[in-house]
Amino acid sequence: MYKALFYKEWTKTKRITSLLAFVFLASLIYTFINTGQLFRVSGAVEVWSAVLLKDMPLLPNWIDKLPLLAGLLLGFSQFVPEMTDKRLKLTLHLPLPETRIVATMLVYGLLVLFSLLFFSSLILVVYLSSYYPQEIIAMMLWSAAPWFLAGLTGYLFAAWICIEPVWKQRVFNALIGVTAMLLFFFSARSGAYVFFLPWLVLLVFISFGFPFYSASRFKDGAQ
Amino acid sequence: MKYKNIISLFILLLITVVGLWGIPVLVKKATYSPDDYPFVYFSSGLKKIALIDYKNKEFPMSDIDGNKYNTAAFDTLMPFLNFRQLMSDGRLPEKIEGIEITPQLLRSKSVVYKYMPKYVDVPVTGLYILFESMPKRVGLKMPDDVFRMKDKIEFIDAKTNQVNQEKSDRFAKELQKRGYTFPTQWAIGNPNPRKPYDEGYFCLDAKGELFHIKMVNGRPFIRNTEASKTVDIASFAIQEVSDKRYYGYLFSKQGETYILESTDGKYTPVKLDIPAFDLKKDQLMIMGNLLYWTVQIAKEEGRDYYILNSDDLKSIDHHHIDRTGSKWDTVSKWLFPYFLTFDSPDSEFLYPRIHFTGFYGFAAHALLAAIGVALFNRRRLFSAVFILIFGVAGLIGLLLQPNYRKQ
Repeated sequence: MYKALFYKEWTKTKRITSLLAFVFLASLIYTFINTGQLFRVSGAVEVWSAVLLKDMPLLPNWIDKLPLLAGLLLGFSQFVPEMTDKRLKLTLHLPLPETRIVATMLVYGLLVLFSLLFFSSLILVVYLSSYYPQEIIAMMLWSAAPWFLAGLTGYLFAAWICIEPVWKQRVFNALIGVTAMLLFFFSARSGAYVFFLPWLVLLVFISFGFPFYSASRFKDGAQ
Repeated sequence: MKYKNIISLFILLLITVVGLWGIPVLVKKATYSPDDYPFVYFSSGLKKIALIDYKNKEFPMSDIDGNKYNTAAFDTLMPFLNFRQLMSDGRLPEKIEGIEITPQLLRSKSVVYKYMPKYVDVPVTGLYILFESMPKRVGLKMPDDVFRMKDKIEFIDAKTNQVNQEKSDRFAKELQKRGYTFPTQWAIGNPNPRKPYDEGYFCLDAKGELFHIKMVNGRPFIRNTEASKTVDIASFAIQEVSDKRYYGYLFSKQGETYILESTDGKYTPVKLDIPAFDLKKDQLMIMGNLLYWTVQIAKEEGRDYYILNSDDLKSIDHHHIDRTGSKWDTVSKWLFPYFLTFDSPDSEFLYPRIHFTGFYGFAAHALLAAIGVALFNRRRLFSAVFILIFGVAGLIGLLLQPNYRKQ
């Protein structure tokens, strides 16, 4: 049954997953070209000095919102079809407890998202390690960690908002979600989030429960 | 669903936490204005502390007895502060307090330094830039490598991103010879190539000994300052001052301030005759000249100004100005008995911090709780207590959650 559910989720999300994989790959290629050009034009000494003295980011500015965008797109692609004509009703009638059904759907989405983020980071780290020492790479990862967590939380919030059966409450949930997402995007120096990360990880774990609440309201026929 | 109520409570708590941060942020934006203090400096002409208000074009200066002085008098009575203006007017005296002065001397004795807790509470990469302290050509040149210092010293060449083993070994041997113990607690330098000269880094080793590390003609220059014999060192701020009198400012764990004087190749901590301050909360500013240093300590409740003799750094005068507070102080006191922030002016790190403003705000919470009860037709007691504890944020949380609000 789990395999079938995973297959069902894959059928819904294969296009958006492929698109996201392409966007991540394109972003990586852009970063590689950008880094290569930076070192060619300015020289390694200048680039390292700028990173160490001026906290120059290693990645393009727009890349911080990419995991969040991926999380939202994946969440919407997975759960908007479920809400069209209330198809979720059928899904919840599958021969599995409803919590397991919702959990399987969420785990599928989180695995896809985590895989995208993990492999992108891995490729990025391997590539950038030829340009920068490990301390600078570590600092980049500390800076990127809240963006990755924003992606996972954004996905769970998207599921929470989509599954919610009442439009007014959906708007409220969206407002709460948008405000909570600000916590992941404070403008700060590299490494500033290091003590905040455990709290953001806790938020990801807590948010995992939110779609279950909406599913329960859906099942109860909330109007 | 089994855990519906628990999940609902978690959603409520998330809204409340976000509200405890977000609502005060908005209110602060609407009410906050910065503290308004005059500029305080010691007038060598009056031998008194003077207050300067640059917005007042006619009488910018007043002394602490309330006498006001016009711009011309201000220039004359504060020659160290206004020597460029006096030079331009041809009014620069040849002597001040019996000491012959030149613009070069005044410039070389001029000191400006500011300590803020966030300069110390900051994420560090663990990589540092070491200049050649005796460059063959004029001016400092950005080196081709950086070094790491945490568990061992290693120079990494920027062009190859590889460790320069020969240079690393050279420094490692010298460090070992001088008795340096890893891991390094911190390393402080000033990697700005525009400074007049370079004094390298001051590093606190694992045993709490302060070492001076620099590179002279490509060779390691490493000395134990032995400052830890007299000072329980908390932090250090390097400053390559023009007259090379000292290396920088040393702060003890008790909050005392020292300069680390350079005397015949030795390092001597000289204590500033000012009270200890809280290194995690207070700010310190030093504005010094040939004869006097004006040291300002900014605390939450106001600012203290200490005038020190520049020779022995003994205090000769003191002045205090109370903080007047802004609208934000009043509003926050009545609206929020406590609130949440994630950033702080005292740190570059982000994490949740709770700020208590007092108990007045609970009156507003109680009023809200009374109103709130009327809005909810179930779990009234829970709602009332929740609003009493969390105030507006709690009320908004309850209103946004279908499990609690009136259906």
